[in-house]
Amino acid sequence: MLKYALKRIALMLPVLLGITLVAFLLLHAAPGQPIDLLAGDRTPPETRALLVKKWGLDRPLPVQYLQFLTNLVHGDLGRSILQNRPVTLLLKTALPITLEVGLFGIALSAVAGIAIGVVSAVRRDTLVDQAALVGALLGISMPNFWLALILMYLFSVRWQLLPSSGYGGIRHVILPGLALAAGGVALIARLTRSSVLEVLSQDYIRTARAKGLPERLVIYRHALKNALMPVVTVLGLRLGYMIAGAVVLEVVFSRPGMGRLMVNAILSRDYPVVQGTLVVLALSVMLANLVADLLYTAIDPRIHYQ
Amino acid sequence: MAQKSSVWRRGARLLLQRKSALAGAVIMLLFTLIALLAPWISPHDPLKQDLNLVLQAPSATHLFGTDDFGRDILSRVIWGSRISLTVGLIAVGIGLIVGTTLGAIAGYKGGWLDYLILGVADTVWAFPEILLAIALVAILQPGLGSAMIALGIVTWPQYARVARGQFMALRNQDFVVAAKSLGARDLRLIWTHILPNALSPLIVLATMGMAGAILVEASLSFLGLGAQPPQPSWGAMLSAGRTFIYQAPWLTFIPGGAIMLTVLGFNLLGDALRDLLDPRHRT
Repeated sequence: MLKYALKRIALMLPVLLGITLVAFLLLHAAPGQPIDLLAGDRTPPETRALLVKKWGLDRPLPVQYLQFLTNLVHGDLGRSILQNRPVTLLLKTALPITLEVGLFGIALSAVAGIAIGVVSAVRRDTLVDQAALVGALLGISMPNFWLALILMYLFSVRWQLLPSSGYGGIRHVILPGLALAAGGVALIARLTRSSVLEVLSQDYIRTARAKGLPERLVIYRHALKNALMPVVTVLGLRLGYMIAGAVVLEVVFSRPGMGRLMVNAILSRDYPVVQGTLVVLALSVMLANLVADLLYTAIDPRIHYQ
Repeated sequence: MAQKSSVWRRGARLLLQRKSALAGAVIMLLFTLIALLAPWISPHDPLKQDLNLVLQAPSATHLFGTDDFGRDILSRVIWGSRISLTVGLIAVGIGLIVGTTLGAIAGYKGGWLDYLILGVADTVWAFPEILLAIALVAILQPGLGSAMIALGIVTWPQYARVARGQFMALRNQDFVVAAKSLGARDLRLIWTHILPNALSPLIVLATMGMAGAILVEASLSFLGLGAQPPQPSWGAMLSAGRTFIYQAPWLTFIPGGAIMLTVLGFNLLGDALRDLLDPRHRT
């Protein structure tokens, strides 16, 4: 298990390099001199000279990349041009705001998705099942920011039950979380349904039924436990997706999280912040996927990794 | 030939039997027609402003109402279908061509080329789609062209993976080996013998890919990174409309509904195509 975990982490290294390389090249592929992009146009020449030295901008590209990595490892991502504060400080305030919605979204996807999936499987081909199928199709096809706006219109504008923007407290998480979770609920429900149906056709389920166990016990004690294995994997992968999806929703709900920080930085050409948000967001997604992977191997007794 | 006609016949039967497949085909056909006929069916000029008619509720002259510049929403939605479908087609086209080419090379040649291509593909694929697309647009400067290129770069790995698998499986099949022993060169083998047999799963993927591309383009335009004003892109319309969600909710509801319907159409069609073309999914 430990060996597998180490191997899995080693496999992340090229991706990690890829992420940092994209963030690094961002500065050099964009039109304009890197130093102008890093310093903005109101920085005095002395500070500019310092920045050139710090990021190695007067040296060849590979050396600059190494310098970028070294600074990164030391937790130094430069200063925001727009806000004139260290990028790491901005990230530190923004990340929890994004994770909050992401985690709420994934929890909701798990609970609602599994519940709907089990009911659909047990009541296969009934009206409930078909309604769930139609709901799932809509959930997958709906842009989450559109759903967010509809929810905002209903819950904030019409009924005035929940706040439409800002952050702080669970009330601010509900609407973005719901919008974010819709696609996940749909996906998890479909997956749970087919997984439960598959398990229900297995021999040990027939045995359990044959010895006279009530159907409720057959499903909840024997079938569900095994049917949920693939669901856990997808949930884990979905967590990464949730973090990425929260990016767009933050703009809708004016939440000062990573997404809004990144989009504003792109639009105002605040490159140090673009680099920082990109690296940290991609890293969080990767870590989420890693945790899901390890969790999966830990709970499934049939999987043994060398 | 016999096999071909049976695919068409099975396709027709599938359309008739499965309501969802039929619905997908109808939606897709409808939006394609709307996009093609936009100049003739759009009741007003999508860019023409009329400041006497701002934020009008839906009425007989303006079926879907007007926006904050007094532009006709219906006309903008109609023209917007052109943007969505064009971006989708070009983005999927880039991903499909780049991915299939690289995947074919990896699968056909094997060896270190295979490792290299697969490694790059997996690295790109490890990024969440929307994040990488946003980052690429940041490099390329916001705009629809950038959005299409970004989408192509983000999606090619999935086509590459599938094409690689197909080519690896097909390159040792009897009909390929036979053609090779008759002296066919690599390019000819790939182009006329292997590729036609490898296409089915790629077509399914591309259909689903259209749905994904339209969604991501809408997201990018919504964030201000895709279509730029005054282009009537659905995502950008949504973004402009959300300021008026209190006075004029139709500004938000209508373009979003158009996005959802189109995406739904491609998803349903993709599902049906998969059942039709992939023997393992046949029911």
